[in-house]
Amino acid sequence: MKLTAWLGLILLMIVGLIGVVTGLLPDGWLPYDIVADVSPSDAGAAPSAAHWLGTDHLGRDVAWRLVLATRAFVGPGLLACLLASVIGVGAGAVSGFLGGPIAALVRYLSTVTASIPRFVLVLLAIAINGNSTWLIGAVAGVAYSPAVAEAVFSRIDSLQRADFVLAARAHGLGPFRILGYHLLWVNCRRMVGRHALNLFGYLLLLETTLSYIGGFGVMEPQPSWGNMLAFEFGYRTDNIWGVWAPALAIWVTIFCCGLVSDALAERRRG
Amino acid sequence: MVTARRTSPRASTVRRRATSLPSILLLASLTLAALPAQGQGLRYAEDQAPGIVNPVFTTTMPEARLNELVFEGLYTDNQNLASVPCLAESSELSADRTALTVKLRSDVTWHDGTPFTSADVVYTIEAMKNKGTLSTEKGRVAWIQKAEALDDHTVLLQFERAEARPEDKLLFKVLPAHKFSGPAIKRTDPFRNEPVGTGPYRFARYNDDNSISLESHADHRDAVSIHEIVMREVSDKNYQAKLLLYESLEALVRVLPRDLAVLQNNRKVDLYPYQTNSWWYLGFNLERDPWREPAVREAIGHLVDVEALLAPIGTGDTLTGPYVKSSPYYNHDVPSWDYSTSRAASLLESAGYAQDGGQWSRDGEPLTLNITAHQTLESSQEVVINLQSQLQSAGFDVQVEFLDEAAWKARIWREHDYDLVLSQWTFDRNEDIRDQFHSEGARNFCSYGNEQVDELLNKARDTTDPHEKKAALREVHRLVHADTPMIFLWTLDSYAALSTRVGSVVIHPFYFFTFVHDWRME
Amino acid sequence: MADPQLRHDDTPSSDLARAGSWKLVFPVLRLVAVFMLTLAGAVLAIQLLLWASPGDPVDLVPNGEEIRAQLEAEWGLDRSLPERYVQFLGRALRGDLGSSLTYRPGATVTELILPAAGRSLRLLIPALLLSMGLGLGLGLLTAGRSSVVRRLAQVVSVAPVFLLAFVAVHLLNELAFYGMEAGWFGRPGWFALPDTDSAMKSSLAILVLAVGSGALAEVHAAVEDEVVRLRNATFVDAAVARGAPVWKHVLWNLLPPLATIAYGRAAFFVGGLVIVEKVLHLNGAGSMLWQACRLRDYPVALGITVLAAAAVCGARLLGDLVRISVDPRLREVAQ
Repeated sequence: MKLTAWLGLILLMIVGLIGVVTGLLPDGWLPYDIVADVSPSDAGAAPSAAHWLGTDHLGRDVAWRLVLATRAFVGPGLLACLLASVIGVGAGAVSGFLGGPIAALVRYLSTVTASIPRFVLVLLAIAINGNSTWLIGAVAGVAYSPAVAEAVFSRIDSLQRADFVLAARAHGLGPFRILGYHLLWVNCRRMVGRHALNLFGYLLLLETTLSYIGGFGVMEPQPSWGNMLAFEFGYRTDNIWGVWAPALAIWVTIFCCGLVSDALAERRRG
Repeated sequence: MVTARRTSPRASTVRRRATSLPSILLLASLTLAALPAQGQGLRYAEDQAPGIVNPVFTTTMPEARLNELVFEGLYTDNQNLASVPCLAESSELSADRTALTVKLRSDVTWHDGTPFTSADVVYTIEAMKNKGTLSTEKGRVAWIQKAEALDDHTVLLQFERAEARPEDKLLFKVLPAHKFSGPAIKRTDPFRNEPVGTGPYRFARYNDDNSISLESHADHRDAVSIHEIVMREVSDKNYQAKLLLYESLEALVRVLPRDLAVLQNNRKVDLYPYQTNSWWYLGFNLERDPWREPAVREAIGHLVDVEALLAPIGTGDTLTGPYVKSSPYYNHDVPSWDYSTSRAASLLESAGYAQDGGQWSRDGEPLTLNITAHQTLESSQEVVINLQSQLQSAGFDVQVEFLDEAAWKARIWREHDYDLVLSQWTFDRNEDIRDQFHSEGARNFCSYGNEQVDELLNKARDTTDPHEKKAALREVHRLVHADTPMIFLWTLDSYAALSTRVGSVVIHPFYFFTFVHDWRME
Repeated sequence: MADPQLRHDDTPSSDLARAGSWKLVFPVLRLVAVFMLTLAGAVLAIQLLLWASPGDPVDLVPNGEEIRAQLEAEWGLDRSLPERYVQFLGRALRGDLGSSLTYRPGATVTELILPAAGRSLRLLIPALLLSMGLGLGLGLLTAGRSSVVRRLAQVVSVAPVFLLAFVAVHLLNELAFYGMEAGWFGRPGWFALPDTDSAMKSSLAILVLAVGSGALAEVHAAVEDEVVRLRNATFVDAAVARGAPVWKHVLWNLLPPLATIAYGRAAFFVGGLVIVEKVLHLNGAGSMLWQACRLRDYPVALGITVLAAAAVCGARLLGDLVRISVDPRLREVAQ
């Protein structure tokens, strides 16, 4: 992979690692208390030794909140990717390999899910419980799975009649092995990986947009890049980092998802 | 393998055309310039457009403000907020105070030219009381037992019980009888597309961008200087002040505290302070442990630093009771709960709590608090986060929740599923807190009940002596403060902002446009 | 960040081929049947979601609790969900989608959502065309080679739509205001964004929708994939060897995959419309859906979502029709 793709991957892994570590650590272990940090007298302070990126308009440290915000979307993002991959690959494989009425039913369900625009589906779902990013992640994963299913289905379908599959059958390899290894692992993994990265970036975008527009997603005082952005918008303080730090974080992360996804792309020859 | 030839010249033209089109589009729109955008109209912004222009179905404040322009009531407020006749000319209260004979003006016409008669008044009252109408304003006429037209310009109103000052309650808007077909008014009636009133402005049209245009009514008895008023929906509060500065609007009904500084310094904008009768509070759920216990509630009262909560969000007066500081019913002798950790500690200990490593608990159970707030209440997020920080450092385990309006109403009003709730009550000039504090009050969702308070509230409602009423309500203030069903927080200073092109502006604190006759615009 | 599923495979695998007939009638009828069934499924899903959310329209009426029973009866909320579902489908087939409860009380849903949908389509279709056009152009430009242009397009495209819109509005407003104050030009007709509707605002909406949230990057990548694949295909080598013009073949073969890309983007854009309309204060179906959900106005929310689902399914139908009309192989029986 090219250098830029490696850089992107490293950045993503750093973000992911921070997200997982801060998510798993019990609250008391971090030298920062989200709730206690409120100090209105410090509002909008510029970056300094005490506050590396300054403070927001309630006096809370921007840098720490930026770091802790990773746990808000890394977990749900991974959940979304998992759901989309499992459901998508499952549905695609079943309908591609088996055919018949089961396949038709699976494809029908997939089409119904695909026909409701993802954002609208998430919007309706979170009307039920807007406070849960895990729910947003789960719904986004389910809403994205038809795309994965379609991709896997068309790939498997086109490979059904390929020579190597006939050869494998002739050798007496069982259907699970053919499907699991030859078809799915060898041929589909890069594609599913690209979809997963795509979805991860999409979820971050979704959470940001929902926080800004409607106050859904991660609820205060838990930070997320989206709600940090929404919170500071429209406030005139001396600290531009209150708005730009989360915006840049979002921008860079999604861009890295794109870089890595591009590197995974297959360039078919001949 | 033969590699494909480099792209032919046709490819580059395809490329160029694909990318040049959008840039041409952009440039064209940019230069589509220099069209004068300002008419003679006054444009004002609301957070949410009125759903329906019909005073019988008013649900939101934007609707109430718009109705103020299009419709009129029998009485209205003057600049001292006292009732003066509007559609009525004069009225006579019977000796036993159970009936009022109202003489109506004879020079009033509806926007469609039909003359205004007593039949309209009778119809409006009957329709609002009618079960089939499902009116949101039923309460406004519930006290009227019967309305009868004595002649074309005289109405006799009979009340359920004796009334001291019925004119104060005759502010509801009158609808034209001839525009409706049955005794009940339905939301689906064609009136919603062509509302007709007697007010200084008539409904012109709904616009495509969700704005509403009103034009001055030529035959109105009071000439208005502004010929057109447009209500614009600007749901993003971040833009409201900006649009005023850019002269895309002429009026903002309520300025956000964070925009005050910018607008104050701008020479094209005037700020008008006004006193709304609305105050913020932190309500306890008296159906739940441990909020049933007055000692615990009072302890929380001593641990909340109200001034520190107010400072980041704006300026205003902190309160000790359910009235605004300038209200005649406010009891200035009642001291506020002072911020005192020691007093709170002794109260909590008397209730059986012990502080264990900084955390208050009783019988092994830590004291947990859940604060629920309403997303659309401006700045409530800052207050709740700040409050959470204060209470957490005092030794409680505090969770917060922000809900949207429908969910909030369902959880708080219907299900009573909360510990503490941060919200705001708004009253008109009558400041009738009965619904909130009487044990049978319709809005008493915290389940507060105090017999003495009930008695005093009843006395205040039934008495005709204003001094007696004042004394009773001041006592209610004192009792409610002592009981602490809620911690009274503050009233925020409210400002309206208008362009300097609009002069002679007087603002009604509740309805905003009541005195629009006096406004002048260049 | 391409959608690899939008790749056009050499072996026909669509429903149409499996229909087993060269006649277009059967496949088209089947597609329409699938369309209707999908809509019915979508309606059920949406009804369930709306019904499960806390709070209902009666809560938003000031004296709602007093008159709850009557309001529920008038608004049809007192019946069970299966009843409401069946009733809704029945009425919808006759064109009656009910009346708004809290958004515009009393107005019929059709009179609200049809003009709004029209306004949204006037954004959606140009955005789709612009996205496809820009993506096509950039894809042809950068296919097969690493390029700064691609990275640049990605960087811009990756920004969230609302952020792009906000930055653009802020810049344009400030520039125009500065110019006005300095006396360079009079007040532009579109000033100030996003207040009044204007060509500028619509153009901005279209641009932001076409480019933002990864839209442009995805189309670009998909087109690139296709162009590279086609360039390396044997029939292109054959055409080059014969000295025939390559472009005609490449473009014509690009059409089916472009159609598939287009309907994939359509679903994405319909979702993105909600954001763009909200941020730029455009009164279309997207912002109406948002308000309706906030106000728990079930008939309007249901109506708009069904319309959106119908639009997406319709786009898919159109895409499939384009594919079978362009590619004769898809009309043949699959072996």
